[in-house]
Amino acid sequence: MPSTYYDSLPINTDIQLDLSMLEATGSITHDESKNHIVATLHGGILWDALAAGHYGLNLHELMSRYLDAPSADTTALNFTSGDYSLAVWINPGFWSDDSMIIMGRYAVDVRGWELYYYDPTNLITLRHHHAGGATNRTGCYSGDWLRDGEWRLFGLSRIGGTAQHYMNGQPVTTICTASGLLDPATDAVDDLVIGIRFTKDSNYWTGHLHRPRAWSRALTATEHYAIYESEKEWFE
Amino acid sequence: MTKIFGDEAEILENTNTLITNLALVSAVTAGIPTLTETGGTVTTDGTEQDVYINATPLGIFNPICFKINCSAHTAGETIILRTYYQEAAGVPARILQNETTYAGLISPELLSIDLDPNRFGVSVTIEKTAGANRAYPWEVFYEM
Repeated sequence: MPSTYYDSLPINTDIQLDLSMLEATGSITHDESKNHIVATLHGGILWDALAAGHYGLNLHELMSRYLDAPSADTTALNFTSGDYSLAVWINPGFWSDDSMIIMGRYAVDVRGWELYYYDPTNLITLRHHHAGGATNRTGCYSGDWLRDGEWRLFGLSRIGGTAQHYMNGQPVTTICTASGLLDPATDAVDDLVIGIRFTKDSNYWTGHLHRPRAWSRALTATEHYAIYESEKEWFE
Repeated sequence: MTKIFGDEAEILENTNTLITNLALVSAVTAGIPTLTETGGTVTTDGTEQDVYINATPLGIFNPICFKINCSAHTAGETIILRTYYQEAAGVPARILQNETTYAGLISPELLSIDLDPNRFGVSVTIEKTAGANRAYPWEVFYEM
């Protein structure tokens, strides 16, 4: 039987994080990108079977469940210049802070990027932080990310001063800061966090989450669609 | 007027044939496995620790080999590497298939363990039974 190779697949060009969550047990999950980022799971049992037998993480604020990876191992996710992309399957739950962090590598109003879900209006926002406080923040958001028990694939391509969000592989209306996205300011001290604020004490993601990924390039619309088409069966 | 592509019925038939063929190609290519790798570093703690584990694969896949770097391992130290497989859904859990003890200096320092095709679960564990705990980088290759 012929096979193909992970790094040869066009979709995996410049992939910097791919937590495929194949372990289905235990307190760590491994990265299939070359970076070998190891994410540690905090807060007790996290694994939950998906519809098609795949496993995802069931995170919950009450259990203080989240993932992190050391800053030293995640410098490829700085994204301080140039384009980048994110993708993650989400199924938000009904217990939360107003803002639930999906993933990020940041310090508020200092440096880095964060992707978060805003509960009251079902928005997902990417925010770039800069020294100097809130006045220097830039970002982009999209709406209609409902909490209805359905899994959805969130995708994002940051392209220069703008960005495009994708829902289930389809582009959705994305509102960016009028002056354009500035590159996030950063240094190397922030851990990668998934499902929790950078301070690791609030803004927990409550709900399900599967296969967070990141690329140091802008994925095309076709690529976002291809990811959805190849993986949607896991959630049906 | 000359019809370059034929009449509408012919175009529709050809289009349907093309769609069918694309679906067939898609069905075949979706089944082509992808050779994938992951890894990390396990620091022993004296207990038996999972290093590589896929506890509930989606279906049949092909773990190929597991490699572990024992450069940090010194004389007077002992590790045990074990491979487990689950041969049916549900309980019992993974069953021990192979166990190898490495006592003292390990040479060559890079160990490689062949793995078997699997459908219900596989893992490789390490246990430090003598000497100081060490960090052991590892990687695993699998087709799925």
